[in-house]
Amino acid sequence: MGHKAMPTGSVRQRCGRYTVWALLLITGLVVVVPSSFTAQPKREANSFAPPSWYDRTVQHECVLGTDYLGRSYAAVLGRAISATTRVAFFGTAAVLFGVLAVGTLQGSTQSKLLGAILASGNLGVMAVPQVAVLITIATSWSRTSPAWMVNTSMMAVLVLFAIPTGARLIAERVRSVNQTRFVAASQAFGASWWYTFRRDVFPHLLEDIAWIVASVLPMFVAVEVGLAYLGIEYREFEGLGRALAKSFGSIFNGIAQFQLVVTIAVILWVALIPQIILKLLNVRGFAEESV
Amino acid sequence: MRGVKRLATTLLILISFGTLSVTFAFYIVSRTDELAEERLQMSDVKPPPPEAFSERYARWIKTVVSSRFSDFGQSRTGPVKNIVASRLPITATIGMSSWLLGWTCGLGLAVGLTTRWRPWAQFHQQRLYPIAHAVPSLVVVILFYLVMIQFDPHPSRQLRTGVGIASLVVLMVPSTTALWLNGIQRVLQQEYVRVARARGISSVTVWRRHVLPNVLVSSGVLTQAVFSLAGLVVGSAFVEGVFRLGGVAEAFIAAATHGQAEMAAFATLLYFLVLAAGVLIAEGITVYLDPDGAQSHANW
Amino acid sequence: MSDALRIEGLSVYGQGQYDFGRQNADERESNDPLSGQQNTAASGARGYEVISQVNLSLRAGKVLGLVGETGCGKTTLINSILGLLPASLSVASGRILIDPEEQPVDLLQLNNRQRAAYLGLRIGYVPQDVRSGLNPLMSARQTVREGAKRKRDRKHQRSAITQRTDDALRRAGLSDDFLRSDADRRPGRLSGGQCQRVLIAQAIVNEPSVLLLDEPTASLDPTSRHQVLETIRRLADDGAAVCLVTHDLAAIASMVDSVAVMYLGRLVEIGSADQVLRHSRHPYTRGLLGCVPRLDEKRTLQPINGEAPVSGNGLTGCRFYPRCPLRQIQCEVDEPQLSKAQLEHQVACHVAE
Ligand code: SF4
Repeated sequence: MGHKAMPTGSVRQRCGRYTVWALLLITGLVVVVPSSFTAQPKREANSFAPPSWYDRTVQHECVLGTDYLGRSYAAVLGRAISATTRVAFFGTAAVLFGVLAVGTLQGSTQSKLLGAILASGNLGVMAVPQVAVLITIATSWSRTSPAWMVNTSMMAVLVLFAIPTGARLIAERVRSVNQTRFVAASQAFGASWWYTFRRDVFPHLLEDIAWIVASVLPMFVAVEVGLAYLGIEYREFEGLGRALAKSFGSIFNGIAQFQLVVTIAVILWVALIPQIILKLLNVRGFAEESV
Repeated sequence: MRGVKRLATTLLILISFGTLSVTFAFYIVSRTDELAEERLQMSDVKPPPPEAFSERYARWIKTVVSSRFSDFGQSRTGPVKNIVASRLPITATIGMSSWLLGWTCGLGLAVGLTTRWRPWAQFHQQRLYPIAHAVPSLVVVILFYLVMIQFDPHPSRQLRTGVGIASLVVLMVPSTTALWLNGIQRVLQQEYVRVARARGISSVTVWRRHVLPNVLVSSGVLTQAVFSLAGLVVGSAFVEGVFRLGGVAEAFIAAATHGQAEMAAFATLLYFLVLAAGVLIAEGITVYLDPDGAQSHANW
Repeated sequence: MSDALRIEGLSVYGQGQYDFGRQNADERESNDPLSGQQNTAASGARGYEVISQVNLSLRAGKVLGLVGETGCGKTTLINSILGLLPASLSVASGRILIDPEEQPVDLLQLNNRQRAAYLGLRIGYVPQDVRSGLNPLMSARQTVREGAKRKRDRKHQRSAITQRTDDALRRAGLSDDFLRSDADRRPGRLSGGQCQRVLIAQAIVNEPSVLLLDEPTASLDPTSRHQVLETIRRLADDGAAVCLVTHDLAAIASMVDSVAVMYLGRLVEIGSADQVLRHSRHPYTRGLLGCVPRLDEKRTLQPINGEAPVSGNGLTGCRFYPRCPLRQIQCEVDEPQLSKAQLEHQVACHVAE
């Protein structure tokens, strides 16, 4: 991967800080708000019915109509957003943790073994379609297996697939920062490894971290949506993928078609939030350097 | 000599990688079959006695080898080979057409962005590509379907195939353009391109003999082009599903869900054969263009 | 001897902040092989001055050494002739006449296609960077042959092209052994000296009347440098008009016929090699010569004070004024023009006059 000349520390740190704050704020808004204003969507169906503008349970028209189970689609969508983003944020956090741990270790130690594992992992990630692996993993569990176990195994595959690329980037950055004079100076003063990492190295990783978040989060959204459409979704989970699949199933119904368009808009918004934030903050990252 | 050695190594890695993947797919999917017993426990129907993975896998390998690669076992609905043979044309059409168009359009756009629409090159790399990259592919495929049925609620199979391919091409183009553009921009900075111009060599020759061969060899475009097949498999599954075309991807999902290990393993084998062919072609091109291996950049 | 190429009143301007002679990546990108005509500045849209009112002649059979510090505009001058100016620079005025005495053609008035009829055929170019000047995927022979194919004559046959290719390689100083065993190798497997000769061979394969060499010896060891300079001298003796751009005065002293000295985009002294190198009059030329080490004489090197500014913007009067040891009050306000101090020896300096 090519690396641009590093901007001054303060600019990088500022960009990274803003990004992290913005991401945190968005996390709060997207995850908490939909759950609050759609706290009680009617989950049990009275009867199967085609989507309609009229909600029989509350006896008035609703904004996005009702779904095939007669529930308010706005409420269904709100909960789906919440569910999908929670999974995406949880997965992204796991990837970030893995990437930072492996990347820092590799960047600091320059271990040949770990380097080879990461390189072959990268090769595997490029060569194997992860959705195919997820399908085989998901279908290999019995129907009586606990949902958390199935979902965790699927998440684990996704996280493992995402680690090599990000870890190589972080390793490269850690290696180049470790070679700078200020790190050498810090070590010459007898600072501990942890102190040097926290004060001198980590701030230089913030921009890359922001970029990893912006690339990995949409990946989790895309996989959830795609798998649900293919009929293999997280167990006991009603996310945006199912909302999309169900409205696509009744596509020749005008209301369902409208709901489909709204769902697509919502999915795009959720997937693109991090990228939009980065663009607004003008944070440039490895995607542009390494394409 | 050096090229032959490299080709042999690549082939060896691919064979090991492919064998592992086929075995893994067979093992995982055959577990599903073992679990059928568990599923049927509550019903009165007696499940068939489960067959251990090793026995079943050995039997499959034996069948394949003894039939001289003409029998790949049975699936629920018939011989695996027949099922794949009936579905392969549509998958191959979708995959190959979108792959070719995606990479060609990407090259065309990249050349345009480095020559005629220069101010847009940076916009593409910094704004458009990262955002396009984050868009879930299924959403784009569905959007294309949605637009198609607005014009023709009962589209023919050809139209569905065409629009499906178009949706995959649109999905691929930002990435392929970004990769080509990056490689082209790097090569255009090289002195030998300037020297070629200073020698009065025609633009077409400069691109054909100096720019493109160097982009192919040194920028990793070939590697990415081969590995984009992995993404295409997923995209193809979406297109087959959304546009109701029924291809190999759909058969693979059905096989995985129903424990048809033979079918899943054969689909995996097929994918790796295509991938291996791609790697070999890419390696061949690299060795032909750069026999000394001075510029080559390969990720495998 | 007649003029093979004449530059008249050439001025090149740039937009924004430009680092003289040191093209950055973006600008180089703009030099793509499909780009349009040579940039020509619209009147009134001038930015800063990169080259100002340069007049120069290249004579058949003679070697002109164009010298100056890095960034003085030497490479920009060569790029103007070749039509390879980066997008941020444009020719504001002047003419570059090829064949000025017989059938003069102004290269600046030609579009890319028309200019291509001269490049490689009438004008040969050898770049600065030995390694990256050659396409790494083409063998030495293929590179030279590609140029040889451009000459469309009656002998445009495979054997004739092969013959001319091998001749060019030989004339560039490469041995028959090289032709037999190494000519089909790619640059990665050739030495720096061999690469430089291949670059010279590709420039001379069509026997151009003008040969432009940009720092051809910069990255060579002393032995290769000597051989390459000898080759260049021989080419001039065969009738080519050679312009040898360099900042290494010592290397060219023995083989050039005349010398032009550039400072911040202006010619400050021109004359025969003897006049400029042994009886230099401009303080800047003397400064440059003062930095040249000599083996036969033990002396302290005297570098020129300070560094050349990145741009001449904001400077009035003589551009060398801030660094000149002989400066006078007049120098700060009055820009000196080239004037003849002796026969054919021109100097732009109030004091030298
Ligand atoms: S004109 Fe004045 S400042 Fe310029 S070189 Fe001559 S003496 Fe020096």
